[in-house]
This record gives sequence, structure tokens and C-alpha cells, in this order.
Amino acid sequence: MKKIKGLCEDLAERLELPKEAVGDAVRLTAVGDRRLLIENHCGLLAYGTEEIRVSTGRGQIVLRGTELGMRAMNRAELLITGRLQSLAWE
Amino acid sequence: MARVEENIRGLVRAELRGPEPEKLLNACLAENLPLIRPESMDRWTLRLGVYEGDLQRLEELAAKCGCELRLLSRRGGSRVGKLLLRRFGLLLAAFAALALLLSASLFVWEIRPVGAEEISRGELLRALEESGLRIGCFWPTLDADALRDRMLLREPRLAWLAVNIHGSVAEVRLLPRAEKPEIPQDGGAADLRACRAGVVRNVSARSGQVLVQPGQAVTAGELLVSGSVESITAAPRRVRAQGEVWADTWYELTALCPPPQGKESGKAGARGRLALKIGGKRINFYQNGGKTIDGCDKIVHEYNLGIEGLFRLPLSIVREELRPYRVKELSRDPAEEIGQRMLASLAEHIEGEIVSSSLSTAQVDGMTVVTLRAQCREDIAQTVDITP
Repeated sequence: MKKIKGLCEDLAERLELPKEAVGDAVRLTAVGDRRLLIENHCGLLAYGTEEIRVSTGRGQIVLRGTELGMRAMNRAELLITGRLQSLAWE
Repeated sequence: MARVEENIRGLVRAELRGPEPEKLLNACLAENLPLIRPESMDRWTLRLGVYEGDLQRLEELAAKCGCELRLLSRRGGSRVGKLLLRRFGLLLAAFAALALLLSASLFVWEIRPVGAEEISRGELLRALEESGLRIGCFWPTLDADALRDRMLLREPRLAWLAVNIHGSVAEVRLLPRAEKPEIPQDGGAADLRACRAGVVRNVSARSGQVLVQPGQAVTAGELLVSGSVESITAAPRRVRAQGEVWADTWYELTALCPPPQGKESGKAGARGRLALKIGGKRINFYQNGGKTIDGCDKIVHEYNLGIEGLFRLPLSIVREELRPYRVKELSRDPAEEIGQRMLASLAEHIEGEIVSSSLSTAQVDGMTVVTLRAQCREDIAQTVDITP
């Protein structure tokens, strides 16, 4: 399955297609430093007011800030609000 | 809107404690269980809200993930329903109010005549009431054609009317009947005589024998154009004299006016009273309502319950404000104003124009005597039938 996903992504890259149209790549949309929408996530690894860790399937996104919280969440999307200070891939 | 949904569906706030609260969050995501405002209290504690219907699923998931669940608060949902069921009277009143609101728009609670200003509102409303359109009538059964026929028979000054219903307001559009033009009677022989004294300036006769010249002074009733035309070959023949005789005339109008008075009212000493109008009935929340109150201005405010243009309930609150006033003499001179009114009245009265005018005033026994002298140019010819 992973091979098929990788193949799709390679093909999209060769054909210059947007990756999100083909695979399940994680997509982040930030509105300033107050709001972040994470699509195609694979679950939460840690949840706190100063640090949130979100699994992407190939790694994890680490969000750091203050007064962090989740405004809305479902199987595909997470809407995080608060004062975002850093965003890292680990 | 989200808050309304929460109140309807019922919101339960719970605290979850366990070694890995994130695991529970992921489990909820996997189960597609909507979580409302999850808050992380510390590394092991999580507070979140769920809809009342999802509480059981949350409890199951918490048990699976090894978390301890503690309920913090409940809001809306079945709890509100139970509370309402306990207050049966309140529920019944709410339903009654809703039913009243829905049914009130099927009745006419206001009649608004538009057009035909020459007919008073009172006359129109009375005629409409007698024709079948009255306050409180059920408008879906109203026959607009029959109403129009009855109204046109009852009120000869109307040419047409239409009834439009907007919510509970019946707008009655009225078209007044146009006056019939005066048809001149071209009958038998007639003279033209002066209707008032004056100095003739111009004579224009279409038939008859002219007896006056420009510059000649005539008195009221004097023959101007005769209907008996002389002939050197035959006996005088009788015709209907027609034409115009323009002459300068003079008018002197006098008016007596008392010293000008005005009213001075203030909010000091004002008192208010309330009444409730239900349909056509009025309930006064005060006594002696039938007594006339002297020395007071009565200001009436009526507040209808409803939304303008959408619906109207047959309930209105009437607030009457009684403000005492005192009469005081005004310093302004009324002569000018009265003179203008006299001049306007004269201009309407004569068949011609006012050439010049002058105004004079005199004081007689505390009263002001206003005298208007005006020179006019008008047609003084008046048709007088010749009786055989």
C-alpha cells in the first residue's frame, strides 16, 4: 500500500500535478499565527496548551505556542487555535 | 448558532483522566464522535464537551482507553424538555401564543384607506364596515368583488376601489369619481347683465346687441348685451346673447379678529394613563375615562404588537399623556395673516384677477378690524333668460 502511495506521488511529481490531488499528503493552512487547519492527519500524539503533536503517517508535526486548543476536530481535519510560535516536522 | 444547537441537542461537559488522554481523542476521531471545545488541563487530564446522545459512546471509549470519566455539567436537551413538561402551563401558553401568532395573520387588524382624500376616513371606515370589511374579519373569505360592488353602490363619490391584504393590514386603494363637466344650456333668448358694478374695459360679444362701451360705468343688474336685436327691415328678433364683458371692479372686505392667543404647555404636571386594545375592544386601566378634561392637551401614543409589513397582532397598548396648558396672548400682529387669507379667498371667488390691493387695520373695542380693498378685473357678464 505504501509502495502504491509512493508511486502515485512520484507520478504526480513527474506530471507536475498537485500532490494533494493524488495522494493523502498532509495539508496545512495557517491564518496568521492564531489559527491552523491540518487536513489528512493520522491522529493526535500529544495534546497540551503549549504543545500539540499530530501524526502525519510519515512523521509528526510539532506545534508549539501558548493557549493552544482545538476548536473543531473530525477524522480528516483538525482546527487548532491559540498563539502559534513554531511549527516543526519530526 | 452553535450555542442554539448545543442547547437543543443537549451538551454534557466531562473530565477525562488517564495515562494517555490523546489516545481517547484519536479513538473519538476514528469513531467520528464530535467533541466540543476539548481543553487540556494537564498531561493526564482533558476536559471536553459532547452532545447528550453521544455520552454513552464516550463512556465506552473512555473505558477502552483506560480513562476515568467524570461528568462536570449538563445543559439543554432532554433536561429542558423535562423541565418544560413539569411546567405544563408554560408549555401550553407558549403553544397558545404560537397558535395566536399564526392565526392572527389571517384576520384583518388594520384598515388603511389610500386615495380619495375628499372622503373622510370615518365615513370610509363606516362604509367599509357596512360592506363587510371590518376589524377582526377573516380575510381569506373576503370577496373583494362583492365588497367593491357594495361600496360603489353605497358611496357615489367613488369610481373604483381595490383591497390588498398585507399580513393583517387591509390596504384599500380608492379612486374618486370625476365630477361631471357642466354642459351649457343653449336654450331660448337671453340677455347678458352685469353681476356687479364696475367700469367696462373690454366687450367681446358673439351674439346679441352690445349696449355698453369700454370706459363706461355700469351698476349691478344693468343690461350689457341685449338678446333683442334691432332690424331695420323686420321686427326685433330674439337671440341668446353670448360673450364676455371684462370690467374693473372694487371689493372691500372687512374682518374682525380678537387678540391673538396661543397655548403654552409643558411637561410639568403631565400625567399618563394606559389602555389595552384587543381587536375592536378597549380596556382602560384608569377611571372616569368618559369625562372631558379641560385645560389639557391629550397626546395619544399607540403601540401595535407585531412587525410592520409582516404581521400584526390584534393587541395594542395605548398610552395617553395629559399635559396641562395655559392660554396666553401672543405679541404677533394677525392683520397680515388675515389679509392674506382674505386675498386668497377673494382670488378663488372671482372669475378674473386681482389687479391691486391694500390692507388697513383699526382697533375697535379691543378688537382688530382688518379691511382689505382690492381692484379686480373680471368678467361681469351674467346670462339672464328673457321671459316671454
